[in-house]
Amino acid sequence: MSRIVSVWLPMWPVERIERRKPNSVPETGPFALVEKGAHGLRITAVNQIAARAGVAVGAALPDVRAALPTITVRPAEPARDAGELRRLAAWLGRYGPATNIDGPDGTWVDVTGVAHLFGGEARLCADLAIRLARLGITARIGLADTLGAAHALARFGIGSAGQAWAIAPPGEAKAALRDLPVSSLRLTHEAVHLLLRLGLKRVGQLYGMPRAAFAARFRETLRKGSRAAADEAAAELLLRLDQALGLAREPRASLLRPPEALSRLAFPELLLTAEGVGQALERLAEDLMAKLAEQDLGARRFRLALYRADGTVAEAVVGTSRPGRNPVHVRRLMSERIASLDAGFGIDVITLEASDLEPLDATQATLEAAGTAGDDDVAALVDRLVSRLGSTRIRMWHTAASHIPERAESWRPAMDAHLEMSRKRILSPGPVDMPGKASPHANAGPVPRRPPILLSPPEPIAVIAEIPEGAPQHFVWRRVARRIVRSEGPDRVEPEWWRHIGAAGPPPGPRDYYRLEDVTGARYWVFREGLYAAEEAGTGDVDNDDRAAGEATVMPRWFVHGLFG
Amino acid sequence: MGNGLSHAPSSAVYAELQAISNFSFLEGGSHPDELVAQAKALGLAALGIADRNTVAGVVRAHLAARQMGLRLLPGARLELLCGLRFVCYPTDRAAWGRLCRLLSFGQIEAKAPKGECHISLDDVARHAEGQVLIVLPPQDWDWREMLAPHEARIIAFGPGTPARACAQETSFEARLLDIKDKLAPAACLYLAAAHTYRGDDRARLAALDTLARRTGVPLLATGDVIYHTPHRRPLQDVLTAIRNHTTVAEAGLLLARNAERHLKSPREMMRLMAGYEQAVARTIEVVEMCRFSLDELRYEYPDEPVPPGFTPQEYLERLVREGARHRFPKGVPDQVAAQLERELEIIAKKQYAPYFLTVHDIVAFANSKDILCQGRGSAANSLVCYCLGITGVSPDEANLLFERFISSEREEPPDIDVDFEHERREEVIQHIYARYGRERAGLAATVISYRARSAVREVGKAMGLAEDTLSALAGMVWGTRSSGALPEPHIREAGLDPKDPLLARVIELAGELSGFPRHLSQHVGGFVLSRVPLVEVVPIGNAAMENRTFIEWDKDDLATLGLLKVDVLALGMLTCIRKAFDLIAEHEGERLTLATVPREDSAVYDMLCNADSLGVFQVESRAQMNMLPRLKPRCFYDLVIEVAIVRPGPIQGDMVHPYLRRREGVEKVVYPSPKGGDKDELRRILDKTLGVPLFQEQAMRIAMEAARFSDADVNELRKAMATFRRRGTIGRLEEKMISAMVARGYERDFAQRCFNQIKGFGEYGFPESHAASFAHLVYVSSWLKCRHPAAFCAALLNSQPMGFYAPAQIVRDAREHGVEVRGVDVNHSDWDSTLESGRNAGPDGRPAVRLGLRQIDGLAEDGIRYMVARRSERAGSAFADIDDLQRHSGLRLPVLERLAAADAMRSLGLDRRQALWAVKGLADSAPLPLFAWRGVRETGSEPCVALPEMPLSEHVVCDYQTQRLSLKAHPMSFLRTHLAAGRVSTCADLSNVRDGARVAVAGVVLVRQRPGSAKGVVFMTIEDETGIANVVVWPKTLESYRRVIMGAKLILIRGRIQCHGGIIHVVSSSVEDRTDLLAALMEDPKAARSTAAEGAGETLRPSPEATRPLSMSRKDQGGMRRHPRNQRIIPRSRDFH
Repeated sequence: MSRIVSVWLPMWPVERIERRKPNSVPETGPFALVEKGAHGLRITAVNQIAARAGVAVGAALPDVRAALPTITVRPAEPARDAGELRRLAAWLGRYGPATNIDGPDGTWVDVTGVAHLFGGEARLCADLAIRLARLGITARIGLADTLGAAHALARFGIGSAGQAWAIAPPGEAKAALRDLPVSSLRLTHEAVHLLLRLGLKRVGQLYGMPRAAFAARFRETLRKGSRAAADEAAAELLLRLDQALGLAREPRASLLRPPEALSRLAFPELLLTAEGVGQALERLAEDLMAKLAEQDLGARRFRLALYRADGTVAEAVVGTSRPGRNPVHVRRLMSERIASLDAGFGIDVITLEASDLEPLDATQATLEAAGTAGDDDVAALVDRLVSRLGSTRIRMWHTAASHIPERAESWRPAMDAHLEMSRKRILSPGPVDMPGKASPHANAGPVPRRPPILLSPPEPIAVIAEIPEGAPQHFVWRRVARRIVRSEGPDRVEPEWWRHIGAAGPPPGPRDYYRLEDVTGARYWVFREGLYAAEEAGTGDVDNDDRAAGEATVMPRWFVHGLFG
Repeated sequence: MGNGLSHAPSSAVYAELQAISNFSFLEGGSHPDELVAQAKALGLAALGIADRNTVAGVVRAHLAARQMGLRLLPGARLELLCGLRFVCYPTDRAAWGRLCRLLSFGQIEAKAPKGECHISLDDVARHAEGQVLIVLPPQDWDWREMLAPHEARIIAFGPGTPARACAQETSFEARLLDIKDKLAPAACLYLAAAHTYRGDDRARLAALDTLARRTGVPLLATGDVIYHTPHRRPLQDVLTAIRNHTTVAEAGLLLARNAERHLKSPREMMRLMAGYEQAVARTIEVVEMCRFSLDELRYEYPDEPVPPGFTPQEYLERLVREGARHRFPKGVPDQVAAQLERELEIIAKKQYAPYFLTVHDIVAFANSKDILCQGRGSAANSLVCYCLGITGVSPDEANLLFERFISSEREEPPDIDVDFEHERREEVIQHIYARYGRERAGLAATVISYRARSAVREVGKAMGLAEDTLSALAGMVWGTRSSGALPEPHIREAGLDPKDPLLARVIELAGELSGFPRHLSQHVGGFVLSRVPLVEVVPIGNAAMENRTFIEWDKDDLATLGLLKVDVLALGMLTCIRKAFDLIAEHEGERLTLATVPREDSAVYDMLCNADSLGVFQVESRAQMNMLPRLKPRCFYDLVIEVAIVRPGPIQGDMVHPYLRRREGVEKVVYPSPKGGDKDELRRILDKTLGVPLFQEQAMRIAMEAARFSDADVNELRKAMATFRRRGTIGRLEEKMISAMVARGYERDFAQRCFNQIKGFGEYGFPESHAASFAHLVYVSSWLKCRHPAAFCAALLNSQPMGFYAPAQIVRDAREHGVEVRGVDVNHSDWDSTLESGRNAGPDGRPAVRLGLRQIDGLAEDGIRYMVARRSERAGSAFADIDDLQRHSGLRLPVLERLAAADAMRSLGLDRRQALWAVKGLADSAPLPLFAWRGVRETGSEPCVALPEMPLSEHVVCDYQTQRLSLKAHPMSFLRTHLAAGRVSTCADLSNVRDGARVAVAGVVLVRQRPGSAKGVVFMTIEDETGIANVVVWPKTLESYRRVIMGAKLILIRGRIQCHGGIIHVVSSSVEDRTDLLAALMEDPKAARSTAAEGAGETLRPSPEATRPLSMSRKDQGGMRRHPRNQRIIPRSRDFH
């Protein structure tokens, strides 16, 4: 006979966020977590205040907001919720050898034969309840012979004298469950719904029912699925009941520790040489990467820990610019560091741990010849340079889709820039051009070439040019007068208006770029910021009047922005 | 024109020929009329509007150009599948027909998806005759292909490598020669050249010029215009982002690099095109070549309705005479005969006979198929329409004047709208297609525009607002139907900061975007019929609906061009009336028609005076129900007034109360008059309505008589009224009318009210004739309700969804009127609700209503009809048990399960729970023949299972869940003891409470309304087992209890009684959501106990104060989602904003 504790955490996602980021959940106002569904944002969890105000899980956010404008929301993070729940389950290991999570909001721990260590089952439950409360976690606890019964008691059981736990004494699961609703039996909602419609609302009502008749009827509920699924569903109701009553075995997978990506190697004889560590690293890396590959994960941080015989640990941590699981790459990065590690009196255990895990699908091996996979090569180079020189020292040209030259090209720390570029390529494939629809390119023809050398910031110059839009005939830059013999332009670039929303002062005027060549053959990229007002220009355009009026007070200014080689 | 022009700017002439409007969806940034106005202001010689493969916007441009005196070239930009692009302008009427054919071909014959047009160069060539085609250089054209190789090498600044550019497989030059080969000389070709501000314009223009010289296709200057002023660039960027499903910030190089694609003045064009002045001058050459104007599209009526040997007028007169004999069986009165002569004379003069015949033809078809129909709108003014059977009300009965329909002065064609039964209108539509052919009949389009809500959403998305903010922003457009800016309080209401600059910009841009067309859809029923192929008048495209095609113009466009259309509309009440007539004929042996329903039955008026009008056409709304006891209608014309008075026009003009006071005799009937003028000036207009203007045309005639408006002024006023919502052109007229009336000695206050009423009509106006047509249906439906309540109830149920009330209220009302209503049953019910008469009649011998199986949610009509057919084949022997039913009804298990859930198996001796158990035990599929023969179950017999009996309250809840009504009891009745303990009154009690007393009342929310004219007041109708109560919620209370008021299904109201003229309202001061009580009905007593005990199960809480953590409902527990059916006990209320 086993004894199982089931813990239900009704407020888990909200409380988890509060634990991670204190003060992120308002204490006095309604709060909810939301997830993007097919029809907009939906509520996935709420705090007490919102629950009391009637906000239901599953409601559409706009509806809720219309009724309760003060509600604050955050995006839900189901993956993190599950991850931390697993960690909590591992922590429950203090009460018993076997533990695991139970759905998205519960955990269990097998306490068979250990309750006396805590002074009895009631004391154990109280201890657990108090510890969870201290951690800021709302919990209800059930203890029974089976996981099914404990699960039901945690969620629907009534503890005596205001306790947060309910205990069914050994052998009394049947009595304890009698008055609980059938939904406590971990059934599909179709099955629960059918039971309710048949008037069978309490678990006790099922005890005397003919099994064959039930099996026949519950086979129908899940007809949609495959034949096998239907049989499974038919079995489910009776199976769940039997499991809760201890009439059927329920396999329970225990979670000894969180499935961190960790590989461990122990040595019977102490390891003393760097070569030995290198060989160990090779095996660890192979093993760890295989584990990651199984879960379709890649990591951006790797930690190598050398447990020395004297009880101290030496460690090396490396980061990569893209999530990966290439053992060779990790080994190469690590080996830069291993040299500096001190083996001390010898090493008996080495672990290699991966963190910052991100999904990384299996990649298609390219059919083309090597060399096209330049991306990975560059990433590997960047990683090696960064791990040697530091992340701020390695920078890369970052190109952005912008008409403004200085926005189009900029230096960025290489690890960020590279990651961003590769993500963008994956996430947003280019727009598709449809026949008969508007062409996506508002710009006709090839983009004019820009000079290889950009001055930052552009340098002001004095210019002689024809008004309104003539190219400079003569200008002075760096105290040297330059006479222009060839010119091309204007190339008009408007400022990116959406970047100036809410900015103080008038937005900058458009720029007219000119390409110029002077008598010496030197070539310049010059622009005028702002247009000449209509009156001065003498064009008297109606359309330019308004635009010019706002800028008339600011005289257009000229700058050199770049040099052609 | 030589080079001298650039130095003499005043003589510069230019016409813009490459401009798109916002009918090039998500590309053009300006309305057609904005482009026209700007072109006029800039002094352009003409403007050509050519949208992408469509002419949808040209009529609007044409109208604006006509008003402003600008020459407009209607055309289209042809975008071919191969990527070639032309701007096409027809030179004459025939060429226009070819262009329309080409665009129709690209949609219909090419089987393009809706909204697309697939054409090839060969298609263009077949339709090229008489067109001016301006070839647009490809967007990615590299002008360096025009350079000789040695030149290319010395171009130092050019982008890319010239060598690659020259190596293109098909150069543009080659394609241009190919085009010329195929299209010239049928079409007149030009090559477009625009100055783009891209830096290389001089070189590009030179290359184009070279190309033009080499190919002999002359260069034509264009502006490549996509908006009228550069200020539209931000909006255009937003459109680009929307089109590419991205945000402005991320759109990058998809956005235009500058704001130069706007209209430019001739002088500016001369400056930009310096050196190519010939190309600018050529625009005038094109304008002179294209003589076609949309005004040339003359309408010609189809011939079909006129039999050979008759002229249309002769035939019409003959039909009218026949009809008159039929309509006036006792002989046509002289007065009527004289009126008919007069009408026919005017019709003859205006040559409208074919139009009347066309409409008559459609109506005759409907009559031949027993489809009820009736004309609405101003056609009711015409005795000819009455005699032709198009309208149902004799104009003399309602004192209607023919001149309001057609006057010899007005040049506008008459407008006849006909309503048909909503379920059978499609038959009429397909008949029209069949009779006139798809080439000659088409539905008008409706331009679907961005409205405030959609504009905010799209702009917000493009500006990168978070999904959450976006929903909040879009959600706040609650109840604002107008376009334009959102008021600040609304923004604050949504929990957003109106001062946030990004938000302000989003709202500003959304304001600009709202009103932009987003796509074309088919009009609900506006048909254009013509003698010549319609496809040569306007392009015809595919509709999203199968078997529908529609033209590219909407009804305003058709009116602008004077094209005639017939509105074939759908009206649910006609369906209901026809079904009631059928039931009466079947069960009571009396065949009624709209015309033979007995007139002026006083019992009907008695009923209406008591506000007993649930289910009746038009006067069943809450406002109408309030009005009925005050207005006390006693004759048909009273109903006309009743229909017209509860409208925004009279309400905004504050005309309702004066009228009621005068009617009750409290106020003297006086007619305002000008000083020293004709005392009876207004008496003649307002005599029928006791000196108070209630109808649209009364207001218009006051403008004519009292304010001395000219015909032109009145026409303008009428137009302003129609478009009032869209444009604020009415202010000038307001000043004019009021000052004129005051000057003539009327009181300013009266004048203002008259005008306010006109403004109100702009929102939703009812002219007298329209009110009269509707009043006829009000009378007929009231008569049915009064004299044949059972048939009316069944017919209403069979015509759902329609009207204000849900089936539960219809059934309840019928039962209150002594009709026995029987529940759904597999052995007794058909698909539709039926009457049971004769042997099966109700206890008083009157027919009883048997609810139809259509009442049950989620059943398919075909399967049920099959079952009913099989049942009737068995000649009276009912289904005996569940196996019999399964074997012989052809119903599948899921259907049987639904029937069981709806408690429709009582005649098999099974209540819903037993029925469900039985159905669940069946094998899916008919039994094997062997077993069927033996008549035993293949699964063998089963032990008997005793299921718990279902309490009545749960039965009621399940009835509501499956049928949205219950005949067993009202859900509130189970809560009465509980409520009574809390001193909550029943709805019926309220009538015994004195005015001003404090009360508490609870009920299921039936209807929520927040009418635009009521300044934020919400009206609610709640229902309990004794009746209904009307609740008023003032805005202040609404703010405090917003969530409850918007969301509660069962609501508890505390407030004061307000009693006025026999109408009782509860003015709420506080409200409480008690929807939880409904859920409690599902619980059995045992469960209720454990719910109560739950309070004991306190949990240790991390926070010091011991709040009960488990306030979430039990059904959420165990990590399970609630089944949708569990969630919905009472159907959602019907909410009208």
